Amino acid sequence: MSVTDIQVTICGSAGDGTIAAGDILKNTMASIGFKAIAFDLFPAEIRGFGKCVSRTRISSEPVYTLKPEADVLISLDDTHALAHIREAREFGVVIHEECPIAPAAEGSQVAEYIEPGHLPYQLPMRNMSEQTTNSPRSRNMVALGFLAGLLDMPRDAFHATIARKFRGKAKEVSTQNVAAFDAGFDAALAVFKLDDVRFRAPAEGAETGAAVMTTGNEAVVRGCLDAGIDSFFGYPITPASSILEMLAKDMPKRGGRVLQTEDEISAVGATVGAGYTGSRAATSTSGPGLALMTEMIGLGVMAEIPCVLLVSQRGGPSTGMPTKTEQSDLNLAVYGGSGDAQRLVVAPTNVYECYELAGYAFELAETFQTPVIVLLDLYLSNRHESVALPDDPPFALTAGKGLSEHDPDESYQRFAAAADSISPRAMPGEAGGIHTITGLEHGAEGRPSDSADTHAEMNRKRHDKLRGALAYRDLAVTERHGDAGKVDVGVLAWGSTYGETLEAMKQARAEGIRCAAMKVKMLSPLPTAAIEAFMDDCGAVLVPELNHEGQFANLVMSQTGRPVARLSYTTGEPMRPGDILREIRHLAEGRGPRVVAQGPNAAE
Amino acid sequence: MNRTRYVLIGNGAAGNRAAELLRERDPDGVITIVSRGTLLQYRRDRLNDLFDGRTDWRDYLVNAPDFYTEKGIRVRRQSTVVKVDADAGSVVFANGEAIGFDKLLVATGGERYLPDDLLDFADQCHFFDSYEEAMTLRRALPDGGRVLILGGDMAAIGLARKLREHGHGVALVPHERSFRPHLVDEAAQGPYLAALEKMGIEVLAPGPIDGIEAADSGSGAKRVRFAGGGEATADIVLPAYGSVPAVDFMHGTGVEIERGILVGATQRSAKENVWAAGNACQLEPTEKGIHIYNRDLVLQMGEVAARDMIGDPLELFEPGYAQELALDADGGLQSIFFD
Repeated sequence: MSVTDIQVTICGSAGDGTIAAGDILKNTMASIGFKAIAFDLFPAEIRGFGKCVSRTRISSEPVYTLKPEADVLISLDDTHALAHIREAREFGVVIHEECPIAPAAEGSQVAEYIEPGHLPYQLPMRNMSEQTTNSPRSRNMVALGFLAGLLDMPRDAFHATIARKFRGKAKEVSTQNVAAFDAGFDAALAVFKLDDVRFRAPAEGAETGAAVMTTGNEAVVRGCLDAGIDSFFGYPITPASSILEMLAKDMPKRGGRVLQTEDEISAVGATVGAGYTGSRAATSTSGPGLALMTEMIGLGVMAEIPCVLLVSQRGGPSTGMPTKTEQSDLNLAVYGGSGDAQRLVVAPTNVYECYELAGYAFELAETFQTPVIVLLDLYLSNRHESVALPDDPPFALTAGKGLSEHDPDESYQRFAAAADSISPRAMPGEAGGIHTITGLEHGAEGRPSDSADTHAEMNRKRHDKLRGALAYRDLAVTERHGDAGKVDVGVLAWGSTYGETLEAMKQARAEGIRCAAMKVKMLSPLPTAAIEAFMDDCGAVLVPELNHEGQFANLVMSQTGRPVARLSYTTGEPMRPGDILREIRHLAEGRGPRVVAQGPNAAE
Repeated sequence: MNRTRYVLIGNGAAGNRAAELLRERDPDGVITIVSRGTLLQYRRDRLNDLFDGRTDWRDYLVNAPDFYTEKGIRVRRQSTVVKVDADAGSVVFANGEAIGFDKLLVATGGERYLPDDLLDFADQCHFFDSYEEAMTLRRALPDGGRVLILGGDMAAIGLARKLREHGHGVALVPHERSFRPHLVDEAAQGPYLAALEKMGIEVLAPGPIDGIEAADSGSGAKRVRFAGGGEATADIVLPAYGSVPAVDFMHGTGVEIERGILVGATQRSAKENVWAAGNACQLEPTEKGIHIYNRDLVLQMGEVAARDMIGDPLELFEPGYAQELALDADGGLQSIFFD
């Protein structure tokens, strides 16, 4: 078999270089043509010695999610790694420190807890680091080198990645890290390799250099930049802060404006205001911030102002679990605010789509003259995938009906009726485009009105115009995968959970279950026609999602009037493909829909 | 509840048998097997099968990992014991870490004996005492390649038989420790060496080794120079002089050590809380001579030790094993160490 499919978990304490080692591993693998997906866990505390975990899956085939078990577990700190020992699979490798700085108390040593099915490799990481760099700080590089040597990974590719990573620092930093890496690599060459973890050279023709490891938030930023974002207003909040940080670095170089405001309300207010002026404007936040922003979203809807909100969900409600993932802000994104304030909500399912939908969001906002929410989640924001983003961005730098599409023989009406319910939009100060803009209900010319007919007509207009977003250019709002035609089980999923869905579907099909999956990238308006066509083909439909209430299932059932089976739980961790597979099997046996909301592995 | 902590140093037949029996008789005890190696217990005596293509180490495991998990037996591997404090009930590892015990079984088996004249040349040699060493030897031996066995204990002679089956050339340099663990005086080795020659093994003249070096061919072959003159070349040089008890770390603990840890009929040492079994221990000689430990006997020792550790002593085995090497009617070699 020539397939490589290895998952490496590195576990350490903040300051051990856990995440740095994981970064070098995944970037090296992506640079030589492997597909990779990675997700790092940080402590919620900003300071201290909390646990850091870096998980990277490396494959010669496309992969959609992390595996539940690691092939290799590296402990840089036994106190944190103890809880993860069982993450290593049977006959998987556990690499750990041989010579702790002080003898550890009985019961606190990884060596005591390594499972009988694991293959232990003790390594004097600290001593080796001190011998090669005069400092114990490069233990992470020693461990990484040992891993690379153990699995016969290409040494030179790691050297290149290490050099890139420390490019901005003194040359000595890179040299010392390479030396520590080599010490580990050479040590691995001297040990007998017992494990059955197989790393094989990338397939001939595998594209090298095209794909780079990119997080969801990095892809969002690149999408914004490629779409020509002009203005960004933000207030930091996990897990969206890095969007603000990266844009603050890159936008000014391109003539853009970035302002960190005093709070989320100011941020969204400024974003709506900038959108009104014709600026391509965005803000970013998480659930608690979105809750504060809903009033201004209503203004954007009412006044038909384009703007983009980049929202990454985390565990809630309230402050909730800031460093844990969840999909529980769907209701807020779709419905949040007063009145019938329908807006566009798009939800990427992988890192490439973070780029795609962030970029298209500006076009959609301008075309349909409305706020657009790009709904991510922490797992998607922070996970790395090897993706090749296009050199030639697919986004139009201007979109929507301008004042020129207004009949010059008629007086200008900002909210005039139209066949597609979209009115020509004049920018402030544009000659011939004088109009009134307000949060009050208004007539075609924009002046306030509380006429019953006007309110009904304008509500209809604001909803109808959004239907066009379901068929916008070549933007696919749903995609079906797996078996074609009639199937026993269909899985309908959104957001990051779609990766786990694909893995589960793949396994179900391998077991002989006829199975298909559909991703839904547009949540508002919901592409009901496509969803109903999919449901027509399915003996049963399962909706897996990371929230307690089954918010997407509720949305689908309310808009299609059809039942679905639910799998919804909130552990703060990504959904396990095995849980989805278990429900697929249950449904394939004709045992009917059920609700599984108590947590993973609760059913059966 | 006070759970008895059993520490069993050694991952061979005696230690594992003892662990299994301890678990049967003491469901609550904390049982830890300590091993220097990386693998769970495996059949070292079957490693000749590597040359039949059976190269996956999993095939040699005595028990699957689940066995240990289900029985709650910890196996702490890659852990070298450097010191035991029997009075304090503590085992100290090379990295300075320590674990406590209430009852200790030393079942470390034997470690390779290497004559002084070979110590400087060990890096030019291959060995066959573990799976890793055996695989390394197998990989280094070319098709039809030649192996030079120095000494020639019974494990190496078993390997020689297998190598001949597969068309390899085998030569042997006799030594006073040839045929270990059988005890055969050098003067009495003649008929047995003749039996080896009948097996197609070339028997060279004995003599101390003056040096081992890479042959000139660049093929990885080695040249062995003898002190008395002459030399031999081979792809693999395999010293095989039998083993000696691996009990150095037990010196100073209060147990009595001669050829191994001296034990009584229930495998208990001079220390109340320390037992020994297998090649690490020395049984009292019988009128037939000293004991030759084969696998069956080692398993029994582990069982007897465990029974005593749980307070249910049993003098199980018939301590009459003193079997000599023998020749069959056709002059072929007969040994309890052959399958």
